[in-house]
Amino acid sequence: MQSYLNILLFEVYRVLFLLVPVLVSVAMIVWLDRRVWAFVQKRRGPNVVGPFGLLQSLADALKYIFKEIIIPASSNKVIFILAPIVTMTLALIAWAVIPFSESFVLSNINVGILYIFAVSSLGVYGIIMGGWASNSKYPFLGAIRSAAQMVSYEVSIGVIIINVLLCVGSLNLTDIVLAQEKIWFVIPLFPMFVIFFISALAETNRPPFDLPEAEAELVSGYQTEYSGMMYAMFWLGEYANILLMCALGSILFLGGWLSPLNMYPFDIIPSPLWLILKILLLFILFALVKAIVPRYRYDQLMKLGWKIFLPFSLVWVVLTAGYLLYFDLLPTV
Amino acid sequence: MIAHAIFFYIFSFIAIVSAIMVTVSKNTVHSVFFLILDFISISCLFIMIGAEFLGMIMLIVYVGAVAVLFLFVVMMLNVAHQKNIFFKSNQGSKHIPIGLFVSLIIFFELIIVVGGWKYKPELNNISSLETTSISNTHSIGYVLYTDYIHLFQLSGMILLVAMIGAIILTYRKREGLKRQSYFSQISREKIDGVDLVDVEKNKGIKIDV
Amino acid sequence: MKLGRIFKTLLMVDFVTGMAIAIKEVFKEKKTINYPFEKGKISPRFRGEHALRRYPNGEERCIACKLCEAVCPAQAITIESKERSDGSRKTTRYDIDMLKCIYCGLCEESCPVDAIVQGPNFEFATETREELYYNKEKLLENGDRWESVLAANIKADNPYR
Repeated sequence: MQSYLNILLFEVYRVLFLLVPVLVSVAMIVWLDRRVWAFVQKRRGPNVVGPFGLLQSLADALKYIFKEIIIPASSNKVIFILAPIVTMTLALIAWAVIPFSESFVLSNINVGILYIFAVSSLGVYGIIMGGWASNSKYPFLGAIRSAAQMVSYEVSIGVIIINVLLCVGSLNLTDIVLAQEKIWFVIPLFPMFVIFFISALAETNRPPFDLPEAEAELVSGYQTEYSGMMYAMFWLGEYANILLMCALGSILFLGGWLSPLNMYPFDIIPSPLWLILKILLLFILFALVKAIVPRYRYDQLMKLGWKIFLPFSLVWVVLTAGYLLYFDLLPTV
Repeated sequence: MIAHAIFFYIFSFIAIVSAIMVTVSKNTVHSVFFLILDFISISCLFIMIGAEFLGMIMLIVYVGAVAVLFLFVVMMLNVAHQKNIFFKSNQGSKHIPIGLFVSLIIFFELIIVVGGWKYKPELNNISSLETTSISNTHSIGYVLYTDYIHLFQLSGMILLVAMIGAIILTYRKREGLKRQSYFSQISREKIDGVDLVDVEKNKGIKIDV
Repeated sequence: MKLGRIFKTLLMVDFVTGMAIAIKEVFKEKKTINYPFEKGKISPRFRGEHALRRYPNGEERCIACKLCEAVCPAQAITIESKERSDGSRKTTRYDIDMLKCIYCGLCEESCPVDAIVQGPNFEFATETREELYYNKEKLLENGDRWESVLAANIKADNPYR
């Protein structure tokens, strides 16, 4: 019994050691997002609370905590309350398999990439549940849009992941990173990286694909009826998902924790920091895209996903497989 | 092993209860949510017996795609508060005997399958299934792409044909409908759009030639 | 379809150009001010919070002619008056409902003695509605507080009247 308790406590400690930094960085990333957006538009952005406004998200979170939670009378209350919890939980549990260095990973399972893919495909349920349980038109339309969008773009993300897996020969995220020691996959698979990036934008409902919460048409989509802490949980879950997609992108294409060159000035930086730097770089790209592009129309979004990205990445799978087979570069198991 | 057993019983309990709730719950959307819960706990059971690939694929395919479509249909058709006659009225429903009949058939089929497994040990001996040295993802890959490559490709083809068939059956091209081609819209350049013309005095110019 | 356009779309030239412009803009000078700490310039004609002014000797300017009450399109002003012991007509009550007020400036225009004016202050948000029902004391206090600015503004605007 004692040993079980010890194991349990140790695991809880490890989980907290990962989750608390993730949550804090989610708060920081919201600040960064707003700040980058403001800077592109020559505004100042949040700069009052704390140094450079760094504590702005903390102030927002406090505000949300002390606000009243309004549950619509005609809503389906259990599912209404469950929806933000599901979103938040799914956004956080996916971090369990992200490797920060060769040894620093919470759970090194051998189908890590499938795990992340499965969890992110479950993420659609938080949104559908929220939209349906609100029992209101705008949230419902937002949820339907979002579900269709996420399911469509998951397909192209899946095919892109197959491209990477062909080069690696393993579903383990640590193996995927270690396979990039010679060359990061972003160089041979650059078009796939671009499509992954755009699909990740669509998957996380970021502009230009933020149709689920298109404020001009749908007020704010599936979040319309939410308030207080429940809204904040949706919000945290959304940004945790964005960070997760950035982490996935840096692991699949940018060499994860590996330094760009394995030589003096680069290898003094510890490997988890490299991953964090790459995540930050990708996130700044996300934020810049938000600032420069207008929103897509819905039929354009679907056309892009199904008629351009899916065929293109499928063709690229054939190309990659053919190249690897012809030059006898297929990874051995 | 105790922890393992505890988790096994928790997941299987959730699976059975939610499977019952799928049929029992009065709200159809709730049924679909229970179905999703069922899928998730079954995939957890798969992972617990070491078939992590199968469990993950179960999550991705059934929960991530199929159940979403179920939810779509159920939400769109607005059958949320259909009355469940079997539990409401005394005379029962006409569908009950058919349902019982089908479930009996499925029950006997299950008995045959399990019995066959039990009394014919050579049934589950597949030559290339090697479980010791490689992970089960690899061994599934070996089996699918060597022994069963033709069946595997064939099932993929059947799915593709079904998909294309569904699209062809529902697709109709309406005449006289104006469509936007956003590619031609966004491929307009400044040179195509703006034309500088010297207009003669008292003559004017015809714009849309 | 031109070949060049297809290449441009495939290589996402427009997107990359946009991104480059965006990155360039990040390092340019900001166009907004750091509001609570810096404030923008306000015209002398700015129509902000109301104030009742006094003569330099401390006498109220308002003669209770009620022109402002009559002209107010939102009917936000209420005035009651009485003859004072020295024979001059003065207000006993001068209320402005700041929630009704539309800040059109007609009261200021109509005032024959420059008593009611709209000052440069626009930061008078309150936590309750009641605090925005201004009475005579509040308005006179505003006038005393902003007198130097108000006088300067009226003087600056005088040539254009």
